[in-house]
Order: sequence, then C-alpha cells, then structure tokens
Amino acid sequence: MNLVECQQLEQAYGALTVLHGVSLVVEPGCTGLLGPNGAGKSTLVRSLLGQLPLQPGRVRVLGLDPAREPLAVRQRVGYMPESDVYLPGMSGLDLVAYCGQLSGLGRVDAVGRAHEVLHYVGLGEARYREVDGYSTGMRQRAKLAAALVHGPELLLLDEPTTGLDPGGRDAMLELVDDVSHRRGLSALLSSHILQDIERTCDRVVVLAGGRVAFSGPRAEFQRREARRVRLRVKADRERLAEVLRAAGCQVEARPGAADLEAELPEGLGAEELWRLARAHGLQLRRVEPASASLEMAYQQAVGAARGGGA
Amino acid sequence: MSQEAAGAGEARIYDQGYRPWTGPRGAVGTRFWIVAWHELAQAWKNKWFRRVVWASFFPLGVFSVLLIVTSRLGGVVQLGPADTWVQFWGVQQLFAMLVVYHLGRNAIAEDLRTGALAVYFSRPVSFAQYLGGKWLAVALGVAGVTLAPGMVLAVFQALVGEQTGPLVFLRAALSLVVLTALLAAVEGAVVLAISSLAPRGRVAGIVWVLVFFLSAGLGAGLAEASGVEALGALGFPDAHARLAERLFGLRDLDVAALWALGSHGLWTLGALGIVLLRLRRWRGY
Repeated sequence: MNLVECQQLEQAYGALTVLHGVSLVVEPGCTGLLGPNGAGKSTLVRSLLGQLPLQPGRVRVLGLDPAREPLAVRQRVGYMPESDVYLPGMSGLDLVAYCGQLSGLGRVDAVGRAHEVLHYVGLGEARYREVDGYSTGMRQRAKLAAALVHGPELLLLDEPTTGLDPGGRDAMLELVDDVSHRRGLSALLSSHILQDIERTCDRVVVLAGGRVAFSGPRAEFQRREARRVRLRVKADRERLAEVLRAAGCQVEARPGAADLEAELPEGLGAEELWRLARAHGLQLRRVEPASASLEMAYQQAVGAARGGGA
Repeated sequence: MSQEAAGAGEARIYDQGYRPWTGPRGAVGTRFWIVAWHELAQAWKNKWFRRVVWASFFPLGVFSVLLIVTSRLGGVVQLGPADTWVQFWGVQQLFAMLVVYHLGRNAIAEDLRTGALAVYFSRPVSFAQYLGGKWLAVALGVAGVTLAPGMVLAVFQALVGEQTGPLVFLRAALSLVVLTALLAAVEGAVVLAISSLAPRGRVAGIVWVLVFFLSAGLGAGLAEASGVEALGALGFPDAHARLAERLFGLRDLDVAALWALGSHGLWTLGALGIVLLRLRRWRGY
C-alpha cells in the first residue's frame, strides 16, 4: 500500500503557484524529498498535513484526504518541523508528554511514552532540563521525540539535520535510518542535503521549481544518470552527434562547449562508443560518466526540470 | 518497557529502542481540555499566580463576618445582603483581572514568538480547539477566584445570613455564574487579542493592565464629557459593577444594564475579530 499518493497536485499562495501538477507516491520505507530552496518541499509537506486549503489535484495520506480529514491524518502522522519550535518553560519530558496528549494519549500513557522516546533519541539524561536551555542538537532530538511519541505510521521530517554539527548529524541520521528500516515506521525526509538522502533513503523524489523532476528508487536514479556520458572528439563534433543519434542516443551539444553529452540506450555500453567512432572515422579523445554521484545526478535532474519548466 | 529475562539470577536487558504505540487514544474533539489544563498547569508554576489565587479567598473570610454582622445587627449596620454581594464582587473582579493577566498574557504571544503554533497544528488539534482551550484556561482561572469563593459565601449566607434557605442560595449562585461567565468572556477575549498582537507575553501583560484601568477612565471621561452616564459602561470595572448591582438585586434591571451588556459584547466581538485577523494564516487548521 502506498503511504502517500499525489495526483496533479497544485498549490498556490495567492497569485504565486508553488506546486505545478505534482504527482508522486511514497511507499513504505524511507523516501527522500530532495530539492533546492524554494522548490516546494515544505509546501508539499504542509499539503500532506492538511495545513493548506483544498486546491486542484488529489492527495491521499494513509488512504485519507488531508484537506477533508486533517485531524485524522495528523493523528497517524508524526511531523518534525524545520524551524526551531518549542513551548517555553517546559522540560523535555513535559514537552514530549504534552505532544503525546495533544495526539490523543492519556496523561499517564503520554508520560510513559515520553520517557521511552526520550531515551531512544538519546535525551534520557537531559529529559528533566528545560528545553529553552537545550543545544541545537538536543532540540532537534526533542523534536524527533515529539514526532514519535504517539506512535505514528508515517514520519514527515523537514530538514532534520539543520544546524547540527557533523557528530549530531550522524546521530540524527542514524536515528532516522533506525526508525525507518528497523522499527516498522516509514519516513518522508525532506532535505536539500544530498548526503542525508544518500545515507538513509531507499527512494527519492526530486522537486524542482514546483515540479517532480524524478520519482523512484534511489539506485535507479543514480543508475539512470550513470547512463549519461560526456564525450570529447578531436574534430567534427556535429558529425559525432549525428552518429550517436543514429545509434539511439539522446545527445546534447551545448553551443560553445567542446564536449557532447549523451544518454546511452539500454544495450549500448560506453566501450561501444569507441568502436562506433572508429567505424565512422572519428577520433574520440575521452569518454567519462556525466554524473557519477547522487549530487551530480541531482543537479542534472534539477537542471533538466528547470529547463523544462522555463 | 519490553524486556527479556536473560535467565535466573542474571541481569535483565532492557530494550530502549523505539516501539509503536498500540494503546488507546482519546477522542479528537476533546483536545481543547488538554490545551486548557496545560495553560493552567504552566501558570500554576508561577508563585505570583498561586499567591493571587490564595489571596482571592481572603475576602471570603471578611465578607462572611460582614454577613453575620448584618444579619445579627441589622438595625445598627446599614448594609444589606445585596450591598455585601456587590462589594464582594467588586473585590473579586480585581483578583480576576490579575488571574487574566497571568493566564492570558503568554497565551498566544509566546506561541507566536517560539513557533509553538506549528506544534499544535501538526497534531490533531483544530484552530477552534486551540483558541477554545486558551480561552477556557482563562475562564477556569477566573471561575477559580470569583465563583469558587463566591459559592462558599453563598452557602454561608444561606445557612447563617439574614435571609436563609435554598432560594437565597440559588439567587446568589446563579448571579455569580452569570457574572463570572460574562467577565470571563469579555476579559478572556480582550487579553487573547492583546496577547496575539504583542511581541512577548510580558508586554501583553502590561498592556492588559493598562487597558483594564484606562477603559474605566475612558468610560468615566466620556460619560462626564457627554453627560450620558451610560457611557461609563465602556470601562470593564464599571460594566461589571452595573451588572452585579442588577443581578444581586441592589437595583432593578434597566437601560444601564443593557449598556453594560452592549459594552461587553462590543469588547468581546472586537477582540475576537482581532484574534481571528492576527491568526488568519492558521484559521483553517
């Protein structure tokens, strides 16, 4: 069963359209929501929580329509906001227990659960201290504990590693990885930090300019982009482009650039390119992957989406 | 917490990992109670709030003695039961103002400052439940310093006063309930409006005290300048006093009472409008 389904979702703030016909699915496990600032990630998350008015398109979260049943959705979803939110004058334990009560747990159950989840996120020793005095890393952990306390089926994590030092970031990603892969909970991790996604997520949704640039397994995302190669030919670049197109490649020849970029079809390996060029009397100087890492793949996808959306 | 026994005489290993919650959950429609009790619990941590609440029971002792005196020495002391009640209410409404100060100043201002609205509205709490919970906290606080000691006094009056019996108690009790509800409605709405506009809770508290006393000055000033005595009802203390005089039977119901009710309605609706406008971004939640 898909945890989240969006079909042709549009969202606008007044005259400014932020999401343009977004269609995606989120399956069980950990899904990364990637995109640069202003891509519409937070707007999408708010739509999933039913915090935005009904707009064109169809959204289902755990089979429920968040625009019509926002409270039922929020009962089953845990949300960790990006911004530094807390209730002043409360200890970590009180804060998390209060969040549990707001999510429907009785007072005694909420306090018991708060102890458990605060231990789990590593705040067991600090749980009686006021949240106002917590460090950034501790506040992030407290927010995660507050998102977990009522036992949600889906976690929405908005930039969970913001403001953390490398050690804190590692610990936070370890927790996200643990809850989403070993504790029977699914997560949608919104981030612009590629390493976070690379480390924790099985699937990737790339948003750019309010459009979905890619949606699917992370491995496929990287593999697809790995089929892109950059070629340098000694002379006659246009002729090489024609030869590649005839072989079924999608070729991109940027004006003024010495290189060509080509996406190879299935069955055509990079080594075939050398033979193909030789057969047509062309001298290839270099063939290299155009995007080897997730970061490069991401930049390709975002760049393509922006180009398409422009 | 789940645990596994490693064997007799051996240490237990506690699993501190995350486990899903499968226990019961309360109905979504009752979350305003959670918000209200949280506000009261937070305020109770403040020693000045506790002192106000305890101090609000002090007049109960004084007026109990007065009731005995007026019942036993009616010919000597020119103070009837209605006078006693009106004066009692006049004192208690000052305690109510202080309770409103403590419970209302932080209610929205601090939530806006710290981004706590995101805490509420990412959970199964609607905007109406949030606002209702905040107002209910103020109303319960007000009831604690007006209704609670008032009821004790009403029982006392019914037992040892000049006039005794259940009807005497009912008259006083109903009057107290109505006055408390009106006071809580208007002062709760106004303090929430101020809190929604203030950058910090402390500022909201100061502004609330100023509005309370300045409204009295404004009402009195307008009444004097225009010669329309009813305009004095624009001030909270004056409007409360007018209504108390009518409900406790010191005066008959007249136009002045309507003016007081109208003033309460205006203040309440205006304040509610300000809150809804200020929190319009969250209104649909």
